[in-house]
Amino acid sequence: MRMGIESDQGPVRKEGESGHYKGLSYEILYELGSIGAGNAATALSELIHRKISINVPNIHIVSPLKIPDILKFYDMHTVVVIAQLTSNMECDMLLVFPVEEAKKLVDFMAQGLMDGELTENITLIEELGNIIIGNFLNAISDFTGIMLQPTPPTHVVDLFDAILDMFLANISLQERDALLFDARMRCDEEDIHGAILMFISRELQEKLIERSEDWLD
Amino acid sequence: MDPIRVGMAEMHIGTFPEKMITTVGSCIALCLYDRSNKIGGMAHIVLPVSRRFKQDSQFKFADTAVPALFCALVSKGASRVSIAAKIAGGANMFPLVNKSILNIGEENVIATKKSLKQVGLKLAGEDVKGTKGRKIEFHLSTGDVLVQKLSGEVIVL
Repeated sequence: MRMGIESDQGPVRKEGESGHYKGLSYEILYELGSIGAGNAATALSELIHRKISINVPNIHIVSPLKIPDILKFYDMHTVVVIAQLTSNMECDMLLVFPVEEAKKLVDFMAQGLMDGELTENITLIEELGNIIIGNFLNAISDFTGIMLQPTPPTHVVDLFDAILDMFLANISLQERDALLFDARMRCDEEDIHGAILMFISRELQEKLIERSEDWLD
Repeated sequence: MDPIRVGMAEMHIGTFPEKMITTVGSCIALCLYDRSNKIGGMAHIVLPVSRRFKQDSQFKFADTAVPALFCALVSKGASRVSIAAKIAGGANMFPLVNKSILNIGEENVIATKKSLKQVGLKLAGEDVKGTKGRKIEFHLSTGDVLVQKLSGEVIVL
């Protein structure tokens, strides 16, 4: 089963490489991704009383219609956690795991939790999404100075292409660039692969570019 | 022979013994087949109507994809009177997320059927709506369209 990101599909940068695409700085995006992932890992480790690390070694800036070609999650049963923003600013976020990877992750989380630590109506995978998405948004929020508050997450289990095409039926998302972070998690000796997708609005993208230019000057 | 994957807003026309595949949620897999000549085409329709988006692929929208795929098939040698249509997709998988995409699946089904009627194409089979995605295989040797859902259930149209 093929997972992770292909390097021959459009612009891709690995950790430590700099460069720009449509004005977006990879250097800044890595920095924000690393901060978001690091803080999410700390929060998760505290929640489940076990050590967990999250890295985002690759990033793609890509047309949303090209996402299936990059992730190669064709016909793969996936768990996708979705959150949007509560404000007028738009940034739809998806946390994607193949079902087998999600099972490993949920098992790992459940082992570290004590009874009653999560309310029954919140699934572990949504809590995970809440933490990762929240910390990614916090990193962007701190950098741009714009308050970005996510809606409570919801999750869907289905074929990845089917979930994505339903999501991209919203035409405004198709017109945006998608930021695709390859997410590598390590729980004890277990490696878990997934992806974080962000559909940022033009307004937020421009704000990111503007702040990046200030910061890099 | 490897199957041909038809991506969002794309189409493909082929002949026996080819096989085409795609996966749809709210989108529609439109399969047209001429049994007498064993030639068929698939379009992966994303949205119901094309107005406002003239610059996009005509195979992205139900109202333009149906006549475009029909004409393309005829130009490749299919017999107009032998062509029949099968459709699958149009699910609503996110009832709790963005309200603006709530009815896209159903709208796609309605628009595709309307367009088929306008072109005068017979609907020979359908598996639409619901809340789950579908994996589609279109066999050009028989014209069969296999629809598989997450549960493993397979329907042959």
